[in-house]
Parts: sequence; C-alpha cells; structure tokens
Amino acid sequence: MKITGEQIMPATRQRVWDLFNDPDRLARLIPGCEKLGKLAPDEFAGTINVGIAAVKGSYAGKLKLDEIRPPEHYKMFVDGKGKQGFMRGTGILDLLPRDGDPNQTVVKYSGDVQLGGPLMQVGQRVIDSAAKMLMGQFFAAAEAELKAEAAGTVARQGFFINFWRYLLNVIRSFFRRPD
Amino acid sequence: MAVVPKFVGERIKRREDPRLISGTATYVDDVRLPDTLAAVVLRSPYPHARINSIDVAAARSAPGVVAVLTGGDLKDKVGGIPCVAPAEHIPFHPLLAQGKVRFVGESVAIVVASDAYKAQDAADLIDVDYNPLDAVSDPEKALEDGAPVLHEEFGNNLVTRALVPNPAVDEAIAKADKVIKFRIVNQRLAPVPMEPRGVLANWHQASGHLTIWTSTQIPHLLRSGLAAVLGLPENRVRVIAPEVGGGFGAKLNFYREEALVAYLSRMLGRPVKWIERRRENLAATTHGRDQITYLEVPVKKDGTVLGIKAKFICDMGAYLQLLTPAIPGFSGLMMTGCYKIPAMSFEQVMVFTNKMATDAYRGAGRPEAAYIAERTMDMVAGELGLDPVEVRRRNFIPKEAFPYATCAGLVYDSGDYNAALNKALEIVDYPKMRAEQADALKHGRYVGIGIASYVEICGLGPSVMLPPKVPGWESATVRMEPDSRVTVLTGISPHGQGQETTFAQMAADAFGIDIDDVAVVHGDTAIVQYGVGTFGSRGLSVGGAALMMSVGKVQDKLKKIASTMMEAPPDQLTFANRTVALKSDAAKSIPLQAVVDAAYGWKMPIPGMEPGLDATSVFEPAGCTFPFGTHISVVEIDPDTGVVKFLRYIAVDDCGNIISPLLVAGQVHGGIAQGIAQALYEEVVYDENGQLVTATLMDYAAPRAQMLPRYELAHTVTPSPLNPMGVKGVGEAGTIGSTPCVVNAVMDALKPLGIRHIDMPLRPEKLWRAIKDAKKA
Repeated sequence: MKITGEQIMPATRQRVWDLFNDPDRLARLIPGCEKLGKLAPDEFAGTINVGIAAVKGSYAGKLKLDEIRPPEHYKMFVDGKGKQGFMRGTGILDLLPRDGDPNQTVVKYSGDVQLGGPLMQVGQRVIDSAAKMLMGQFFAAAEAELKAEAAGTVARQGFFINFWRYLLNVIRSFFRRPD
Repeated sequence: MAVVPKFVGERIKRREDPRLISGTATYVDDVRLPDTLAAVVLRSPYPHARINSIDVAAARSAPGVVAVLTGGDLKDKVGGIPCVAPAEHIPFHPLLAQGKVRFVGESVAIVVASDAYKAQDAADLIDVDYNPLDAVSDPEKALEDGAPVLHEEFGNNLVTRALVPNPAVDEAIAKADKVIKFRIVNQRLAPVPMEPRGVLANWHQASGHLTIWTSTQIPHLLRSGLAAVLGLPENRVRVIAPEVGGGFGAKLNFYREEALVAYLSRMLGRPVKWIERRRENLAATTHGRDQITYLEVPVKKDGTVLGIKAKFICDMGAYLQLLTPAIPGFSGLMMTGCYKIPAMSFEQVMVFTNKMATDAYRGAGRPEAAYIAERTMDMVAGELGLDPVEVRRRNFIPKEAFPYATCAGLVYDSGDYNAALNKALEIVDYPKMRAEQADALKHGRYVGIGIASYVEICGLGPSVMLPPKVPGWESATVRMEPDSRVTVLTGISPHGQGQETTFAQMAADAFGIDIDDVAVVHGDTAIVQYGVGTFGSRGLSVGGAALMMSVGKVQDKLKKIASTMMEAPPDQLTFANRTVALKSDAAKSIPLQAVVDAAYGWKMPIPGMEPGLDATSVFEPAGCTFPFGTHISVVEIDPDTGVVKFLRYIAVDDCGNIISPLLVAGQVHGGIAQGIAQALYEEVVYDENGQLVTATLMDYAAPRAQMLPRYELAHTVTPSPLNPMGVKGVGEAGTIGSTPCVVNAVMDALKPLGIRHIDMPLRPEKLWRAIKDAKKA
C-alpha cells in the first residue's frame, strides 16, 4: 500500500518537528495508540489498537528513524505485528516552510507499507480509505495540539474528538476554493 | 408383474439429490463422535520468512487446550506430503513449516482443544518470531538471477524443464507465409468447492486401527499415502469419503491437514476434527491453471496452420502437491486441439513462487490447451482476414482419419468435428447472426460471436499415461444379493457426478430389474475393493466399464444356472422384467428370484457350482477418450461500462453415447459456469510482495446465477471404441469449451476498435480501459 499526502500545520517547522519527536504527545495524537515510548533517540516502540473492516486488533511495533535532519526531514522504518497480521514499511517525512508564512509548515509524507494476515486479507478492500481516515484524524489532532500550544492551553485529545475534527476538516474541504 | 422400464438413455432424476436438497446428507462435519477434539491451524501471514522461534507456552496453558504442535515436534517423526509426478526438484513438503514459511497460509502450528473456539483463542496466543525475507510472486521474475530462492538446496526456483522438441516446427516457421506470435495467460484460479475441506480422524487404540473421514476424491490413494506418511500398515487404515460437496480436482490430493489430524488422533487417543474455513480454503487449498504461454504459429495465406511452437512458464507455487508438475503436460500435448497440425514443439519451465501450490482444477491442463488452440484459430482468422469458421474447417482432422495420431503422439479415438461445428452454427443461425452483428455496429453496439471447437482428453486412462502410484485402471464389484437386489461397489469416488444414478441405470437394465433395486456404494476403503478415484472425467468410461465387466460375470453365472433350469443354452437367455427369459420368446421365462435362490443354494443347488453371486473386475482402458464439441457465444459489450452481456450461449458437446441425459446437462451447465468465470470474472491475485489479495469471497469473484447466461444445449454422438458403453466423459467439457468461446466472442466484438487480445479475466474495468485507449488512438 502506498500512502502519500500533504498537510498544512499552523506552526513553525521547529514546533512541528518537536511535536513529531515527542512520544508522550504523539501518543495522544495517534488514533488508537495505547502506549509509545522512546527506546533510543532514533527509535520508538509502542502499541496501537485499530479496527479495519471486521479486523480489530492490537499491534505492537517499532519505529526507527534514519536520515534525521532537524527540523526538515526523516525517514522511518515501521515494523509491527499483532494476532490479526503485520505491517511493515518505510516512510519519508518532510517539513517545508509555507511560502510567505513562517508560522505555517507544509508536512509532506509518503510511505510504502506492506500488510499481511487477516488485516490484509479481509481489510484490503477498505484499507486505503481507512488509512486516509486515520491519517486525517492524526493531522486533525496535531493541528489542534499546535493551536492549543500557541494559545498556551492544552488541547483535548481522544478518539471521538479527533474523529469529529477530522470530519469537520473533510466537510470544510468540500467548500474550500481551489488555491 | 409390472413391466420394468428401461433406464439407460432416459432422463432419470439424480437419486443423490433428495438427501442433498433436504439437508440430510452427511458431510465430514456432520459426522459426530463422542469426545471429539477440534483442531485449528495457525498459518503464516508472511509469504516468505524464516522462523526464528515459536513460543507456544501461553497457548498450551490456555483453557481447553489439549495439544499444540509445531514443525519441531514433528521433525523425523512423520514423512512429508508426496508428489508422485516426476520433476527435477521435489522439495520436502512438511506437515508444519520447518524453520521457514514459503507462502501466505502455510501451516505453522496446530492447536487441539475441546472446541474450535478455544483452539482458535489459543492459536492467537502463539507468538511466532518471523524474520521476513523477500518474496517472489511473478513466475517470470522468479526465474531471474537474484530472485529470492524458495528452496535453497536447489540454488534457484526451477522445478523442472520439460522439452518436446521438433525441428519440423522451425522448418515450418521458415517457409510459412506468415508467423503469428502472441503471449497468452491462463490466470490462476481457485476451485472453490461449496464444501471446503474437512478431516475427522479416530484412532482405535485397542485394535491399532485408524479411521479417517475426509472430503476427498481419492479415498484409496489417500489411504496408501497416509499409511506411508504415518508408518502404519495399510490394512489398519480406513479412509471414508462421506458426502463430498464438490472437488473439481482440488480434492484429488493429499493435504497436510489429513496427515496432521490423523497423527494427532493417534497421539491423543481421541477423535480429532478439523474443518477448513473459507479463508483457509482460498489460501491453502490447491489452485489451478497459472500458465503463461508464448506462441509462434506458422501459417499459409489460406489459413492452413503449419505448426505450433510454444514456451510455457508454469507457476507451481511454493511446494509440489500430489500431481502439481504433471498438469502442464496435458496443456502441451493437447494444444494442437482438433486440428491436423503437422508439427508442434514446446518447452515448459515450471517454477517455484511464494504462492499456494497449483494442481488439477476442472480440466487440468486441457482448458489451457483449448484456450491456446482456439485463440490461435481466431488469431489466424483475424490476421489473414478470414472467417473463424473457415479457418477451423480448413484445419480440422477429417472424420475419416480416426483413430488419428497427432503430432504430439496422442491417438484420438473417434471424432467428427465438422458435425458438432455445423450443428452449433445451425442453432445460432450463423449468417443471420453475422448480419445482425454488422447492423448493430452501425448503431454503435459492439456485438461479438465467439466460436470454440474443442477436443479434450478423458477417461484416464492407460496407466502409462499417469504418474507412478496413480494407476489408470478402475475396479467394480457387482453383487446380486439373496433377494435379487444388486449392490455395486465402485472404486471411483463420486462427489457430485451422480454415479449412484448412472451406475444404477446400467445395472438395472442389465439385470432387468428396477433402478431402486440397485444400491451403489463408494468412498469407504473398508467396504469397497481398492480403486483409484474420480477425476479427469473417468468415472463412467473407466469405472463404468469395470462395472459392466462385473455385471457380465454375474449375468453369465445367472444364465448358466437358468440354462439348467430352463433347459435352454445360456446364450439364448436374456434378462427382462425380473425374469430370465428366452431371447426368442419372452413368454418362456422363469423368475429371476428362482435363479438367485439356486445360486445361493437356498434350494436346488447346482452341482459343482460355487454358491454366491458376485464378481469383481478391473478395467484398464487401452487408450484415452477424446470428447469434443463446439461452443458458440454471442455477447454484447457496453462501451461505456465494459460490461459483457450474453445474448446467446450454445453448447454442442459430443461425449459419445449418453447414459443419463439429465446428468450430462448438469455437468455441462456447471462446467460452462466455471469456464465463463475464468473468461470473465475469476482470478487469484497475489500482490508483488506475495500477499494474497483475493482471500475472501468478497474479493474472489466466484460467479453467481445472474452472471451467467441461459444455455442452449445440443449433442452429436460419436461413440468411443475404447469401452463397451461407447462413452467418452463429460465432467470437464463445459469448462474446456466455454473459456475460449467467450474470450473469442469478446475479442470479436472489440475487433472494430483494433483490439487484438486482452488477457483474462475480462472484467468490465479492464475492457473499459481497453476501449477507452483504443478510441483515443
């Protein structure tokens, strides 16, 4: 499965970078994340619980970073497995300043993920849209987090509120004028 | 006394059907033994990985769990799954993965618990530490240097290379007016029997007997295989194939689970049952087809085909099942079809890939051959601007030429290919249909007419044509019981073919008794003498011939006894209406029961005659039968959606003499459904990493009723000289004729757009893209 996308975050590159390297805060943003910890400066480990189609399950995995160039780029290797299957793959993350606005950051991501087991066999027909939805929820959460940080408050995070934020973003995108 | 009607050739309803449609049939899962344990197999989610370790501690201590086995527990204790077909590289095929997995769905561990739910919960607790390896799912890539190697001991992924060279083909290519080259693919298919596999094993400790109920087409061959793998004497192993809900070749095999469950029952001293789930069926039951063929066809301007040169890449999957590398042979040998092509040569490269093994699937090698031959004929017609009917007629083997020795070395028993073609053309009204097609095109409608004149190879067969340990003969016992009812024990193992009906028709007529007075018994090695099984459309032509041999022996004994009672020579006697009567004067007769009483010595024993009325015979055919026919389909393609709609479907099949017309129609219907499904819908898809994409019936497009047309069936009758009934076999004909017929129709419809060939399955999305691209160009 190939994933590519682009999101605009309302913060400077450094603040987005800090957020994306902070396991405690990431754990609150990743949908279904049960725990996330740093094993080494370039290595995370954690557990997430996701349900795709009829395949619900918990997956334990590792995330290893490479080609780290703060605050603009890293490459990651993902390797996770649970009783409903496995996922492994690579991803690339680039943070670019948005033209004319240093307080906004363009997050570009691309990945190639291999799935296996029931997760793949039952879920594959909906996996693309499911992945899109999970990414959408993640970025909606990240956006709220960064806005709250700027305002000096703490954002509410959780599955339902982020799902709601994601839905609002989707609805807004229908009315957005093309740039 | 009521007159007993004749049964052979009549439209007799299947005697199997009442129990099947009323839900009272007994499949493996319906067999209930006290204290039965349930087994669940843990399967690999990886197409290719090394197993670092397996932690089963949590599973072993889970509630209800009785045993957990992994590959390590079986090492050196049991044999591997046999492949009897010759090949250069035959890997060890373990019951549970030994250190490495090679396809998604490969068995890694088996859990036995008090019920299947507890077993599944425990299986979820098994922690397998895999080290994923690169996988290869494309057979052509698997042959390249640097491709991941499945079985390291061989150094590469070659299973075997089969060469049938013939320099005459290259001469033909050199002197031909034109050489037509193309590549076609017979995609991988899943047989999808309605009943998945299932096994129940019961080890009887006191007597050292193993009884195993399994959904199989070959109970006796399986008994031999199981005894060998488990190290048991064959007379202590009993295999029962109860009701079998479809096999299509997928159950012409010996599977890991059959040996595993038997092993576990012996180990635990309790019955153990494993029932396959649909996802397991799609991942770990044999697939069919999966051949890529590169063809070179030299032709003369008038459409005469001078030769065929082919290179096959055959995807065998990760391990070799019972007959895996034997299947492509039929594709090569039969690819000249019903044509007098003077020269052929082929090379077959069989390859290991990280996929489930392929093996026989309805047609087993011949659908691929018919697809090659019939696409070739249409390609020739298209390239030379000739009518496909004309090209076929020009190349047909004439009916005077039979028995005909083909350039591949086969001897076709009998045939009249023009007769079948003519009949089909007449039914469809070919000239009128072509005119309608041209008219439709003027209105922007894409209508196509597809023709396929197929010939296939059935009635396997002389044992020399089959691999060792799968002989070609078949057995039958006929016993007239003391009440003059007949029991037939047949060595074949019908699983939908309906021989409980056909064999009863034949035996009833032979003895002049009612069809209800005949019981046909099959599928139990403790009751039935050794037999071979049901596959390759051999049930009637080989098993039925054995039946008639035994019938003849019992008839002879009855006649001999009756002749002393009637004071008439035995050869003047016949059987009718439950009597033995004089041929010349049916009124002069004695009741059949009186003769049977004498035979059993109830009264009036015949001096010097051994009491009893039974005979066992084995029939080994002198050659194979070659059924043939012509299928014509008329389709219309919606250019906006790519959907194929059937306007007509005509099947003219020649299976020799017909014993049971309803059953023949049923076989043709089912066969066409599966053949159309290959043409339009079905494909087993593995992604480039070796993951199975079509892992559920949501994704694997087995056809439903509304996806199929109404069939117009007809027959020509050209008896086979090779068996006493003159029959040929019809179990696979529909599958073989229909696939090329439908693809030819679709390509005919798209010809005005300049489209030459599209590989199957011709899904709407694929056709829509091709139409869009063609219109753009």
